[in-house]
Amino acid sequence: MNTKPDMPMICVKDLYKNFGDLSVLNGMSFNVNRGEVLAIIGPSGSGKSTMLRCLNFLEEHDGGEILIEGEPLGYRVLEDQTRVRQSEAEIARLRSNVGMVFQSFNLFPHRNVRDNITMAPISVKHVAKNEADQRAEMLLEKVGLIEKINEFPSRLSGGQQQRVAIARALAMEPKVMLFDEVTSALDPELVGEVLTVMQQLAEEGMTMVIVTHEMQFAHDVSNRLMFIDSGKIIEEGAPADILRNPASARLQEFLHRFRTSFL
Amino acid sequence: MFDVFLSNLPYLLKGAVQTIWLALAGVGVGTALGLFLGIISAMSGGLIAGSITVYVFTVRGIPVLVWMFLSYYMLPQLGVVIGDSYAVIGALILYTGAFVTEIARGAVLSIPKQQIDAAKGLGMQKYGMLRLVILPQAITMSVPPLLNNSVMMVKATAYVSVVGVWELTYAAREVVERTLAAFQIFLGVMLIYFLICYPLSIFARRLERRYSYEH
Repeated sequence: MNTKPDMPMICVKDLYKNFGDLSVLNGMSFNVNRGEVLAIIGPSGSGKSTMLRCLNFLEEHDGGEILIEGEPLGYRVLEDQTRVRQSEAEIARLRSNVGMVFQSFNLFPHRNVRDNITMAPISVKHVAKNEADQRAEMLLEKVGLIEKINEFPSRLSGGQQQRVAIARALAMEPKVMLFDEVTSALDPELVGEVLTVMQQLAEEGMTMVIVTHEMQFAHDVSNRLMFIDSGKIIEEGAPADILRNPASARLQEFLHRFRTSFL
Repeated sequence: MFDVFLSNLPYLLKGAVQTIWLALAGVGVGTALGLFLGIISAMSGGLIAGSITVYVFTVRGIPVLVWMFLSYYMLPQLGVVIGDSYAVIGALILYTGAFVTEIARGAVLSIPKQQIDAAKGLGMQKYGMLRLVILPQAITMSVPPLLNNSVMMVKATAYVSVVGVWELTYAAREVVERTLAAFQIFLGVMLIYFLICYPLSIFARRLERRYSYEH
């Protein structure tokens, strides 16, 4: 794999995104370094999921720049600041380096677990079928679901589906993994099994960006925590500092509401 | 009681073969055309999708019999001489295609956006997404309405007798005029039409089962 060690894995520069008249991202800039786990928290509608989707170009940014290992994603900005959209093939190639796991799992319901995991490596990266099968088995061992390899997604619990979705994203051997509120749609009892897999990935050194409402998990697993509101970074730093001593009134209010909602 | 029907059965079966041929050509090609146009319409936009919509709305809003009259009488006037059967098959193709276009377009558009996001997120491009994610799910959804449409169009082949193209219904009318046994003959013709349409239903059920993923 072609790695560029001195470069941030993700570099976001002055990112803007609008939905019609609504400004969702208002000039966000940050880096994610190799092996770093960045957790993003914020109230509903703050732009955290939109920001994450921009990192995989599932949402197209209206301004600013995203670089994945130094390579621009989606648009190239020319010297005169005009933006040129990349070709579909180029965007697809960059996307395959960035694994994404969604809130609603989004497994392919017409294919069994094995095919869900091997489909993209075979069709996108042209991996040989037996090699893709072996990797699928290894990944299912890792997420603890090898016995479900021939099941269809409809036969799995939410937690199991989400673990398969993680294995599916990992099968593309991405350089960075994005997690978009991956436990929000799960029964509280099933949250733990998904978080364990994510924790394991973090310990293995995977670069991760996690949008989450699981404060304890964000505290325990991330190296850096970012609080965003109205499409802006309000505060960022070490998780323990941010969560224990929030500097901004907005984060204090958010954490206060969050804590009282569990009393 | 059915001796008149039985003695004329070979003649009626010849008509049935002609009906099957009209159905295979008209409905088969029309369905293929509709599937193609429906997928293109759902995946593209602008002028292409707009032109396909104009085709669907124009053809669907006019009875198939009128299209048959049009192609039967108008084509020779325009100097296109292709034979009566081909003229009505053209009308059947046009009409089937319009309905199937909407079935296919609807099935493709009904695939949840999250499925597309997942495929894109894995680095798939349009063609791969279409082949591996969208079409397999769309096919499952479109089998029942496609069958419905095919059965309707097989029965619509009976209209071609009005413009003088020989097939099962036309043959039955000839036999009735000769024998005056309308009840027997048309009861028998009902049975033949049913026997043509029933295998279609069986075939569709098999297809549904094959592509079903709710195990």
